[in-house]
Amino acid sequence: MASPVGWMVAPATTPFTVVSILTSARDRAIAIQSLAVSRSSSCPKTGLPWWQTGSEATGRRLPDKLRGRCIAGAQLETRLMTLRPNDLHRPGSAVPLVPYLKSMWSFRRYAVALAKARVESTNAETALGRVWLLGEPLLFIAVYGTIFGLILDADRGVENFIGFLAAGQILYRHNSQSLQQAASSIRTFEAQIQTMPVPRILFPITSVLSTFFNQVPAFGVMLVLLVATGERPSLAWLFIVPIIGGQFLLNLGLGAILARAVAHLPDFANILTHVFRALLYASGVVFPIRAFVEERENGELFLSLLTIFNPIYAYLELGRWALMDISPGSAGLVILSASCWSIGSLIVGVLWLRRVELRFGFGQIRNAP
Amino acid sequence: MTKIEALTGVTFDLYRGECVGFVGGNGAGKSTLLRTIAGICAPTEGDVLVRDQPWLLGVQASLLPRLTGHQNIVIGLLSLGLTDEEVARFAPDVANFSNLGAALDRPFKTFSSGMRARLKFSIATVKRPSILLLDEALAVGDLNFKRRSIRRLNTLRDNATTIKMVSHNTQEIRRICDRTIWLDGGKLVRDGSTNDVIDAYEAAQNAVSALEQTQDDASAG
Repeated sequence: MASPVGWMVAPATTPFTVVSILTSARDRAIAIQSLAVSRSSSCPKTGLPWWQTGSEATGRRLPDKLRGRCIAGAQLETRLMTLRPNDLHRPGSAVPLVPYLKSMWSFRRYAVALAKARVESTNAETALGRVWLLGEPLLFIAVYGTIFGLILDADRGVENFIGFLAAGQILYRHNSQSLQQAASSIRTFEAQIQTMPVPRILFPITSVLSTFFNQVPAFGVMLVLLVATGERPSLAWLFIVPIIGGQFLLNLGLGAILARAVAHLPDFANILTHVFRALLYASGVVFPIRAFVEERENGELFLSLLTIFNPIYAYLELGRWALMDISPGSAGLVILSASCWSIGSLIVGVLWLRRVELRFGFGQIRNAP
Repeated sequence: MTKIEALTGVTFDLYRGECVGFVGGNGAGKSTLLRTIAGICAPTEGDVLVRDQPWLLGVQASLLPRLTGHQNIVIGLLSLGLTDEEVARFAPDVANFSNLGAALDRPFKTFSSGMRARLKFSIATVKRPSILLLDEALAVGDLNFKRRSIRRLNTLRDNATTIKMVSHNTQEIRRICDRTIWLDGGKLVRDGSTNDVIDAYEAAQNAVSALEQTQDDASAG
């Protein structure tokens, strides 16, 4: 079987826009042989030099009469030209990393516009619309505050348990909602993916962006609730900006990874709901998990493992440290884990998703060739 | 797992300013070929190389149903990679050419299929792309819009845009394309001047119809 070859041969002065698909061994042989032939040859039928057989040499399209006879010669002749790989590239986003990233950047306005449109359309689905962006966290706090604060008495000496819940839930939701949206982004944007040759990484990014836009009012609610429950705003509150930024990067990276995983195996989406339910507890959203772990034997070790393997926990610790002055067990490890996960997952996510870039054009890649 | 070989051993070169039609029965691989050229799916073997990013105008929706026509023009132009200034400059042209008037203030989901096709055609052709791929793009517009579209395609072609179009309307191909490629079962049957290829294609279609007719007659009689 012939190995896949692509030869694109075009004249140095580039009079032609050429699309060439050479797959067979025969074509490859012709191309290789032709390269050895002089480039000044002419159309075998009309005797015109090759550059007059194309459309631009004459300024206009060639008359049909002449054209029909010359086309074979012209096609052959394009294969005689020097190889100019720099002039030609693969279409779409199947390009090397640097042009890929440039192309991604050039579509940033599109991603933002698409994300905003998505925010509007999801909010238009319910009668109360945007009100739910504020109502949802409040209901959550009411339910979990009653269960964990009043009934189970699991606050372990946290003075402001309502504030603790507000900061935890709203920051956690930023991660969990973004990641779940990003995980299903290949399906959500299927229509776009099947008709537009833009870098596929844009679609998990768009999901993460639209969730972020939706979360902005909730971040406001969080600050209001903290003040209402007796926290004093301080300069340390400014740290919430890089913390949310770090969460955002983590969402982009892990989101890209999940997007590809779900595209490979759609069944994975069913497990994700439970993963995030487990993470709700494992990140200490609704109770001070650190106090519980430290009570145990080998508590220190487990706490380190939790910090290293659960970046969402690390970000919640950082958030509560900045907003409520609850210092994390080991500040250095928490900061290290959070930043390594954000940057590392972003690099892995972009590279890993890019490898199957064009297979998404077939829909779910499990069924793709 | 279903694997379909949509295209095998298809090799051709296309030149600037050429307008190429693709004909063939349903499932012949025409749309897959256009999507491959656009860089939406990758060939499992072989390669596609282009000098510039082709713009694909398909029948599927990539515009957003809840947004108005005007908002969709902006998002459509951004999706083609235009800058802010270009979007501001070209948006009025798109609205004009689509000739949808006040309907552009309504959500896109209220548009009929013909109106949707008009808007998409207007967006994709406003800035001169160097390679334009049309997949049944003229099938749904009304007569008047079809004529204006053909005029616009001719202008684009004369300005060195390479146009590749898939259509089942052979008359349309005869009017616009100077070269035609006939695909069948994922293979290239014929590649040449439009009149030759369409004549052969129509003759083959007629022969098949005639054969089916005789078979029907035979079974009925």
